[in-house]
Amino acid sequence: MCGETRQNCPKFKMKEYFLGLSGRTDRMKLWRLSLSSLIVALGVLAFSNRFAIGRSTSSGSSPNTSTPDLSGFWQLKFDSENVPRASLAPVAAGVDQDSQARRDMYAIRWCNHLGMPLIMGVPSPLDIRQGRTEVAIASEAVSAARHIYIDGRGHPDMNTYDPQSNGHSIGHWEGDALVVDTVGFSDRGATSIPGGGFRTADSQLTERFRLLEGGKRLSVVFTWEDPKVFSKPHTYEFRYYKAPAGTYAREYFCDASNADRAKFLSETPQAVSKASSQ
Amino acid sequence: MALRTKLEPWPRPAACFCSCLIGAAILLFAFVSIGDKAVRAQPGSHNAGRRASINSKPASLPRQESVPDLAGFWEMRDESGSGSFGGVSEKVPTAQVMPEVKKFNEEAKARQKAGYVVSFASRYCQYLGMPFIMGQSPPIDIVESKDEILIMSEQSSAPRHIYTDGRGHPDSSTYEPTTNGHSIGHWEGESLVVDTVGFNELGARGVPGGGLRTTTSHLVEHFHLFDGGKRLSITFTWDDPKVYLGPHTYELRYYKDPPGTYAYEDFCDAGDPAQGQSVIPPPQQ
Repeated sequence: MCGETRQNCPKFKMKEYFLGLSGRTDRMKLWRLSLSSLIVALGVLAFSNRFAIGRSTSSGSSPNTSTPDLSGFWQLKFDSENVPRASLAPVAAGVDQDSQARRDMYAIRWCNHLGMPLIMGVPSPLDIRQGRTEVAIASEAVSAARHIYIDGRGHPDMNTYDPQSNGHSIGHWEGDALVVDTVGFSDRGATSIPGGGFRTADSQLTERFRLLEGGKRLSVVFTWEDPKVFSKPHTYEFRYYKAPAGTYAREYFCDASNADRAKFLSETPQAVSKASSQ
Repeated sequence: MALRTKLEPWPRPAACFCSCLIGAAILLFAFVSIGDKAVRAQPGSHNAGRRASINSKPASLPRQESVPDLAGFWEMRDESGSGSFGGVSEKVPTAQVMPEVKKFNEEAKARQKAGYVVSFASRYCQYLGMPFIMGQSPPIDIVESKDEILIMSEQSSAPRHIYTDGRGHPDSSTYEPTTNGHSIGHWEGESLVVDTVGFNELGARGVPGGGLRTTTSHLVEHFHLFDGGKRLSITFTWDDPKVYLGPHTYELRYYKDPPGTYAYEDFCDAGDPAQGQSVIPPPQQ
């Protein structure tokens, strides 16, 4: 008898149990086969559940597991810009480039919010944070952050909207691309557009944000339309590099009262003569 | 096989079937539990310690249900019935400060009384920074990503970057101080606890209750949703041996703005002579 002390109990042999080598009846073998199949099936189920849970939680609070996460610090390098020359409308083509440059310099000199599109093209990294209903883009240049609303809203009534240097942006996903539509620009801040032209109250910007190279690069294709400025849509592309983990934002503290800074930005640099350089 | 009952012979097919079934169930449960914990326990995991969300979500924008969602526009209101925005900070206790800070505060009050109500930082469109941007009338916009929370003010300021990826503060010998400092956050139950150091003394550095932000300031904040996610409480505790006699704690409470709220831009132009004037013209000097 097989008692509490396990005396006289038949010895369990794992190999024989599973391979049916113990010489027992066919009925016993059938039981073993069923049990083996059940355990294997449960094991497979357990594995699949384990990894299913891993997928659902390891993504953190990503806004949508079916869309790419653009969050991170992104920076331009020397090979990041492909900017063709813009086709300007006659009015814009007649604008003195020096006066446009002076407008931008005024904004820099007096610590204005520089705004779009300058802040997307500065050498310091952009911090993009993708939330559930909004994507925010923070620049280290003097500027308000960009707020891109992805909750399905439209633009506000432009009759009551107070124009801004970054405009009003709404975004939606088209496949793996975030498409952002921006209107409601002001003509304040640094208004020059890469390739020629400038931002006005009538400008409309469409951007496509898309990850490349397994998320190591970010492509942003910009298309500006403005009947007063461009004779046809002006498109260019920036490709950013993802900054390493642990990158943190720095702060450019703009002090318009700084006399040396003001002098540097407002006076024409003196030419260096050969005599003085020798 | 340890689950076998005491008096049953070994092996008996029906009993063995039950034993194996129970064993397999335990194996299944253990595997799932271990797998779950293994993922949740990852250092820097955004899910560590988080509990159920109390916010609803738009059907088209699925999100992690296990995390409190601080995202949205939050603004303070005058709950004391003061009739002015000054009422929102009426409940802030007076800070117990060092004598030299007390003297600084008294001089600042005298200047305001004499008509100098526009600060140097505001006059020249400087970044105002912490804690000024957390206690003003325009709403703050909070965006929560998987490893960082961004807090944006409509006023002249850099955004606040709160890193929630498990990192520490950078080496203070190489870190360049900022008006908002360097912030790291982690979740304790339903509260986001944010630790900030690395401040400079630029911008608007007054602390509600009478303190000052300095390079030796240390701020700890507890962000906590209440009233079903309609309200946000932030408890601020400042420590600074150069400023306070002891920790200075106060709480600000915000209301969530309705869906569709968007950010305004407070465009500041230091080249505009009007920037140096206040809404109510001060007495002419």
